[in-house]
Amino acid sequence: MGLDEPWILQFVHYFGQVTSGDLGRSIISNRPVLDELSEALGPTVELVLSALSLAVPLGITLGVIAAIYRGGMLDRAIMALAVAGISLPVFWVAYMLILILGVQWNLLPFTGRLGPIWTLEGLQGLALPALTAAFTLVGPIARISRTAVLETLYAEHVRLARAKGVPEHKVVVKHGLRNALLPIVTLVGLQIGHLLGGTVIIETIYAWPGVGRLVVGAIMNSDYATAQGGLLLMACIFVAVNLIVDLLYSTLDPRLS
Amino acid sequence: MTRLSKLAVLFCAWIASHTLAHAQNAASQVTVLRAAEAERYDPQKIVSRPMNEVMFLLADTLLALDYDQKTIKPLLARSWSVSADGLTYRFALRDDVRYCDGRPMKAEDVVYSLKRWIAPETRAPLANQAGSVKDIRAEDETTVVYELAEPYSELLINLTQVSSSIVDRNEVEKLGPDFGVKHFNGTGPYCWVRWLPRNEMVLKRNQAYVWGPDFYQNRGPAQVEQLVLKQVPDEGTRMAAMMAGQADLTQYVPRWSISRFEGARQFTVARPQAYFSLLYLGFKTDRPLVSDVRVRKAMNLALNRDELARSVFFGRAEPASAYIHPQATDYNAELATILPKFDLAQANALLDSAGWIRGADGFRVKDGVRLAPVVVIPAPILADAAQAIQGSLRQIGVDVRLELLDGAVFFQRASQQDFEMYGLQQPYLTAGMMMADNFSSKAIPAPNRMNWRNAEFDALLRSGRSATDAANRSEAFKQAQLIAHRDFVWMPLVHDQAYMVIGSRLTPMKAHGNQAVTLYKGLDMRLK
Repeated sequence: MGLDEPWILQFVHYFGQVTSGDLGRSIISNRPVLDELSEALGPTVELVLSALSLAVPLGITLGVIAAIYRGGMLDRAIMALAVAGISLPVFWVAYMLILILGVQWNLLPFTGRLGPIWTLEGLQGLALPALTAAFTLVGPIARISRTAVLETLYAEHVRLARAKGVPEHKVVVKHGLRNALLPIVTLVGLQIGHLLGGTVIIETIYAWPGVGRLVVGAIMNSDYATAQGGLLLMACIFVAVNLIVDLLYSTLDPRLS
Repeated sequence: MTRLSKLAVLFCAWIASHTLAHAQNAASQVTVLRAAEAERYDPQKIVSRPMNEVMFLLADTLLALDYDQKTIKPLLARSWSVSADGLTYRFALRDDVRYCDGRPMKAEDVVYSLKRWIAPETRAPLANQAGSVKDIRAEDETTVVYELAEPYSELLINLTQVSSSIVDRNEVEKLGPDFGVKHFNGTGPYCWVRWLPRNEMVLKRNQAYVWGPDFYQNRGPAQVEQLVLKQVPDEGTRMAAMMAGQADLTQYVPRWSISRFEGARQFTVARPQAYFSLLYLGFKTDRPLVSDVRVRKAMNLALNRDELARSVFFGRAEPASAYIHPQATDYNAELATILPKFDLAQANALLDSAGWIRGADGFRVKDGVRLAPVVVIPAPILADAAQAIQGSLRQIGVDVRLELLDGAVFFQRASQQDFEMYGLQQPYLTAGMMMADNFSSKAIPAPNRMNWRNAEFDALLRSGRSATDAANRSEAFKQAQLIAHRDFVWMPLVHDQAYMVIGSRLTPMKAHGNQAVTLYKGLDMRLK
């Protein structure tokens, strides 16, 4: 294994292996780390994308509504919900959803991934973990959307649009929201990175076979190869998502290109 | 028809077909919840409870263990004989046994599997349980001869255990490192369908299986078509899944919840007739703080085991008055008189006589050294108990320094020498096995982490293991138990109990205690 070599040499060897697609073998399962990661990545991506597809539209919509009705009851209610989403521990939200939707109403299963996402069982199994992850995302997205939209709604170009008689919904969506998208996209990008590596509590409670559980299990069992591979994967995804976000800036705001 | 309505019809058809297929599967399938899974399913190489749970279903051993954990029954071997000198065992195999792929099992398969168990290159953790093997050979297609270099009185019971499971040579060679990861072809009541790590393992009934042990009402094939073993690491989720009817069976519910399951109409809770697993603290007898037997005895006296079992284990464990459970083979009834009952006054007197004097802060000191033993504890098993013990020992002036460690880190810490006590759980089948595995000087530094040596004990152990008749074996092991107990090498806490929670879709069945795998072969499991 070359453990007797200087650490710099070990790093060079490891880097060489990684560039050729060899992340080593797990000392626990004796399987290639790449195989283990590729098996775990699918469920995690499913979970993250489903959570985002629920949280992003909902969060933005709530944020825009709160901005439009600033200071009113609706604004306060939405912001209270957002604060709850940010402050409530994720395990508590998960248990509540299990108790209400899973046990009392017996609507949705919660014992792991039941199949691929394109099957009904797969979708059913995904619903509660995705709802839980989405609940934690809606709050921050709603808050940032509200702030960003508020800033743009009082900008001069928006006042001009209103003065020209543009309908209010067009003013909000085209002139307000579009110009407010930059901070929202930045936040969503960061959340994707956190979610990809940080869903371990959700994965544990819902027995979801994702990357978070794989890496935590590897760390607990001192399975260095798997832990290294997992962390490397998460770091790469984090960098890639941030790169995509940066590239999106120029599309969203041509002045930046 | 518009495009939208066509899409709606297609969507409804998709949902209907999936719902129908799901309902059909659910009607013939049982979902079992597990807390953990094995890293791979190779019976000779891996030793763990999750491994045993699956392997008892997928593979068979030559012999089976009855509910009482004592009686050995035929399984793959129809009968067996032992030579008068205890060196040669002859097993007559059944001639109707088939692997899941349909291939008949022959004596050569048994020879290959048992030799794989003891081969140095296998590095089987429990290879010592095979005895000192001289040779294992097939006399004909249905006869296996197992020859020992010296008699080994516990061989037969060890041949009921997972390490001696019969594997398929072709598959071992074909799959190499992926053996037990991608597939396992066995002769058990269930066959491997798929394993999705960290998620579920799916097994289907072995239709040819008719060779189950005779203590089952149904000797095969299994009555459930498909088994889904789901790994659900969170105990709250496991409980909720049982309550919601999303699973049919589990043995992994918290102790405090068992009375609730017992009280609920839709559940049956089964407890094995016999199951042996001790939770204990061990003393590192060569460390100055605990090298005096009076100190070890005093600590044993200061522990109220009845209270511990009631408060920490919710009455779901039995206070341990010895290292061995009274139901276990070769248990010495005299042990109950050795381990003292809870007596703080006697404990204090013993520590006084050993020269440990209480200081101003209430803790004891001798020659300027404080009686503050470091105790390393695997938190998942013993965290609550350890804190209760810390409180108990404080009453006699012992300042216990607890190190609560995660399971994986614990064994690394326990392999070091700079602590006075450690906590652990030890499952076992017989008194002899418990003594040999944990107290023999050959077992130093692990599992004999106490560094305890006693020549007389070792001699008795050798004598018991090589005895050719039950009476001599029993007598030797009983004497060995007395020696280990009189030295107060361990502080036994409680005998653990296993429980199987059975959901409303299944008919009630008996729980087995073999290595705490309550389902064992699962042959009497039946949907209502």
